[in-house]
Amino acid sequence: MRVILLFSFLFLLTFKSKAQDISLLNLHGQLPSTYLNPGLKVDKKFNLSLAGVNVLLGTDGPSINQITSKNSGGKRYIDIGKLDQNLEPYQNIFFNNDIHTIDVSLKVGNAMIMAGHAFRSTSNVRYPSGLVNIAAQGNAAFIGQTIEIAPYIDVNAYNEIYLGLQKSFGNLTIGAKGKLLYGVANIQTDKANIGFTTDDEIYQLSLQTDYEIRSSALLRYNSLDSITVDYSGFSFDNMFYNNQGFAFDLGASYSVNEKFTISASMLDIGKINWDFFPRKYTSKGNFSFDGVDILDLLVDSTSISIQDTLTDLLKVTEQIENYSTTLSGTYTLGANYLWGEKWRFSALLLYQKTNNASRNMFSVSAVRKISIFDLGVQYSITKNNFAGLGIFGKIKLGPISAFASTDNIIGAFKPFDARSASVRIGATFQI
Amino acid sequence: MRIIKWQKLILFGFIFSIASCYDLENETQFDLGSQEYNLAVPLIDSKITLDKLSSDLDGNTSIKIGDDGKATIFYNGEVIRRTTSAIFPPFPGLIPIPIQDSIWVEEIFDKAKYSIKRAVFDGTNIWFTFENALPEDLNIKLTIPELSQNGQVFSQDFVLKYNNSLPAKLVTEKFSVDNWTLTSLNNSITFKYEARTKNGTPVKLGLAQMNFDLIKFSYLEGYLGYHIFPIEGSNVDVGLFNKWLSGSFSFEDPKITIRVQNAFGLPVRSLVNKMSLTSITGSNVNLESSFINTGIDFAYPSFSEIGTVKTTDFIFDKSNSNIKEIFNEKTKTIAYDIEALINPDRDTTINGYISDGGFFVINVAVEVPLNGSVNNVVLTDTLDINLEDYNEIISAQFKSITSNDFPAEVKLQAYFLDENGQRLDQLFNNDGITLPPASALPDDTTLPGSEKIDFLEFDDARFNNIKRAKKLAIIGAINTIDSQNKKSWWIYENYGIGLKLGAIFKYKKN
Repeated sequence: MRVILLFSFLFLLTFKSKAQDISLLNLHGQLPSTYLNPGLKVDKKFNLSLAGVNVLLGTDGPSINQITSKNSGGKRYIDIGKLDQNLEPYQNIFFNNDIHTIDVSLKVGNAMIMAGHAFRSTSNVRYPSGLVNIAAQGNAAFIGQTIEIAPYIDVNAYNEIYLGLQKSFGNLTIGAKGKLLYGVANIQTDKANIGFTTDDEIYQLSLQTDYEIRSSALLRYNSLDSITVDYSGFSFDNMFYNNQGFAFDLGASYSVNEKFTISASMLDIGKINWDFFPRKYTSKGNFSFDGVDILDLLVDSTSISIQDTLTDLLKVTEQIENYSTTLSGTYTLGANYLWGEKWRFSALLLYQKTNNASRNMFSVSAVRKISIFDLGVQYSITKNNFAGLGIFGKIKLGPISAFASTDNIIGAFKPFDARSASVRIGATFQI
Repeated sequence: MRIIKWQKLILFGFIFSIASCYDLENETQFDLGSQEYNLAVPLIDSKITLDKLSSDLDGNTSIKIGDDGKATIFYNGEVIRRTTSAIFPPFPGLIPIPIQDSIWVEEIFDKAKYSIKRAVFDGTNIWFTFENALPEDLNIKLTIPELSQNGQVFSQDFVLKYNNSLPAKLVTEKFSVDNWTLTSLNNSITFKYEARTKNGTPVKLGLAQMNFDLIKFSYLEGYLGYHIFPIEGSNVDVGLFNKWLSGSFSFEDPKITIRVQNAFGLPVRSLVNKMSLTSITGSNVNLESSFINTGIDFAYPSFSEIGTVKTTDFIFDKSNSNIKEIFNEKTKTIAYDIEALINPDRDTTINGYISDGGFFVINVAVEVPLNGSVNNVVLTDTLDINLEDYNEIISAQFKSITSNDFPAEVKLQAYFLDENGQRLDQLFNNDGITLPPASALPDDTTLPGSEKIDFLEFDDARFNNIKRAKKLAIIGAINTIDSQNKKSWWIYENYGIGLKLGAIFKYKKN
């Protein structure tokens, strides 16, 4: 149990995060806005964007501090006293991390040519409430019941190199990016069914499994108490050699008038073919432990460990088999309204589909220009999270701009109390 | 300007908050909390049947199940094995056999012990040494009439050359006589030689002798002597009563079996000098039987059965001995002093044989058909335990499900003892759990026993108390149905004691 939980939360350690949010709408005219929509018009003849980092951690379930406390050793544990709220059957913890190392654009004639590189990773852990409840109090409360404990774990880390084009047709601007992808590491859960039963006779334990998980260069399973995840974060592993894929972004924006612009985009439509040590782990069947036979104890001179027996209970087979994964496709609708010379209001509706989960977000923002600064607030609503009050800031010093934002100001300071926490920073150069 | 400063502060604080100070690795390490966890686990799932026991036993004890499902326990003693070499060991050729004249008969087997009619060599090489005092070459023809192969008598021609040195000497090459047969009527072998000069003059050699490296036979026939093989001081350990505390047993037909497997074509007799039974209380009683003194003759293969093994079982039972009376006095060991006699009557007219793969094996076993009665027998055993490793368990509730297929009431209790043997607590409530006998059918078999469920509560105080325990003394009492009248019951392979045990532990991490 601890192993599964540790595994589920392991990715928090690698903490980096999410891709698109409303703060990109506030970067109108600048190259980072094309992360959200390649059809958002980029100003100037030449643009350079460096070291754009975006990190998001979020959950549609309780925040970490809402279900955990710390023990005397300073380590977290799932606190039964805090589990008074009704958990839904499944909760998601998601974390995205984009590192846009470099983006450039050059206006050639009536078209803007764009190119760049980014390291991107998305992760989602979808954990069942049964797992939390058993980890919180033990299995005795569930005698005679079958509890679903299998988590879905999906991790996708890759490098992308893109070439894009943006062109305006009157008030309409259309943009597209074609991306070559090189997968760094992946975990994909195809099936996640593990029913954990405590029989009411003498508490025989059984697992009814139909679990299938794939991984390239990330997960190694030896036994329940020997799972290794070798994730190094930003990496150029497999670049140009293995795990190749292709994706594209499409977007358009339309200036209704000088003040009002609407936009739409579809991002990360594509897939990666994983061929670098693509492992498939499968467990299917019924596995049970009914107790030790006394005769075995009498005959076997070595001691019989119930703990070891339980650890060995789950039978998992390993295969090497190529596979492919689709990216977490994202679809957006946006709107921008300029009020006077100082204020800009924006709205964004975002839908993101991952392998085993989906996420909707609606955001609004208001930004005021004050001298060399753009300062604003933004508010986002996602499932079970209505506390997404964030801020945005940008400083412009001649051709150089730097910006930072978060979609949850409380989460930025107290990420374990919030259901989401995000940070976006970056710098641009425009001439 | 003031506004700019305020804005800068916000921006700085914001960025600082991002870059600071969450020790994410530490924050996301998960463990168990200080709360109580209730863990339900199965501990034991056993159906202890004689059939299963029989497959798990090793050493000298075994349980055999008859075709009718009835069980018999065997306790085997040391297996005694003797091979051909014990009766007729190989003879190394340290001293050559002299051939003192042109016709010379040499006794090679002791007439007082043997009367060998036929012997087939195996692994034996022979060679000859000749000396001549005349200054000329000699032609020598040597014949051994009793030694032949495929009808061909052993005969060899040699030339003893004179090399200007006297005496002239010849050491011949070696001849393998493997599979050559020595046929003799009087344990002797005859050497004949003719030594002649070039012109045909017979000569008596100054020295003639036969050398050999090792005399060894693959087959011997005749009277092969009288041999005694003592098999004394051996024991059969009977574990049946080891845990006895009180009460009485009555087995219907315990037996001691002497099994001899004999591949020698010779009469073998086991002479039982002594067979005594020692009880668990230390008393020693001799087995009494008319066969103790007369000995027991065992079968042996005839000349038409060379290569076969004859097996003879001799059984001391209640019909020919006092075994039943003395065995039921809780026998712990059976000591025996047996001699195996080869040609026990020293009858030299008995023609026998031994071959190179020959052997005899003697095995003494105690056989206890599990048919009898048990009258309030109390058994006890003590196990070493250590519960100190379970100090994070606060309390436990055990759930046991037991069943009993035997035609006997079984009572069980276990006591937790400290290092001084002082009782700390008991496992089962009151006098322990009682498993009633299974219902008997008219044919004296039983119906499967019904299950009995018990809950055992060990609260914080009790569980904390037994953590000091170092030993667990288990006491079981067995009483077969109508044991007061010594009603006998057979134990069948499918009878068993069912024990399932699960526990709900209240656990708290220290």
